[in-house]
Amino acid sequence: MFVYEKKLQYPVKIAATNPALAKVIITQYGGPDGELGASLRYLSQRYSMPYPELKGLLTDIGTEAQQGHKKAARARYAGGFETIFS
Amino acid sequence: MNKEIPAADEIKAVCGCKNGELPPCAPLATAYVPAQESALPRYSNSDALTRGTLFPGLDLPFLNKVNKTHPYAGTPLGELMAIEFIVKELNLYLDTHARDEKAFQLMRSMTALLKEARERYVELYGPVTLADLASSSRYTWLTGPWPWEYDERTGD
Repeated sequence: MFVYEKKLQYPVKIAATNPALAKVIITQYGGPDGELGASLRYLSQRYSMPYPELKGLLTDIGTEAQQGHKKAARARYAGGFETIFS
Repeated sequence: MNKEIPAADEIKAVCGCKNGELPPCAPLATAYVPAQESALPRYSNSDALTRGTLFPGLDLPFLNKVNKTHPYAGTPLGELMAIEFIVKELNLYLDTHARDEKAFQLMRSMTALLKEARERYVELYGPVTLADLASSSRYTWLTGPWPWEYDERTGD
């Protein structure tokens, strides 16, 4: 289900470290509308999804949100915080 | 009320790639989400990664801020990322447009390219996944840098 890839899906461009911005990015990481919650929601919703194309879509965007989680973590790390995902 | 429904290609000609079609006699005060019509037109391989979408019709930059390039442009990693991104975009598109033959043919050729790009990258820089260790003579998984150890500002 979860296979780690030793690279980022999309480049994270950091022009300058900014702890204030990192505080905002941290909500994208684990906040109420963050990637972590989104990923788990999609991957749970698919069990009760009756339509085949949407079973596939929920699986694929749920996996996608995991990648988004890694990107947010990478951005947050560069922004001056410690991280466990990248 | 005009009940005549225009032909599909007629709608496409009028709407263009930035707009979807609606039922021609849609009821009043109903919210709608127009569906993407076709996988065409599309951006070139490296442009798609830079723009963040394969489809010009879905490209809606925030405050009109557009990336000119990306930090890995012209590197084997950049090439791998670009192809992988297109495969992902086609994957999500085909989930809801499974009968689009042209898009599926494109996905087939892109997955073949992806396999090659991945092999090239692994040969140069080491494993991306644990499965890549199959072609390695020793345990290279711990060899750095890890993705978070790359500094975009200096390129080191």
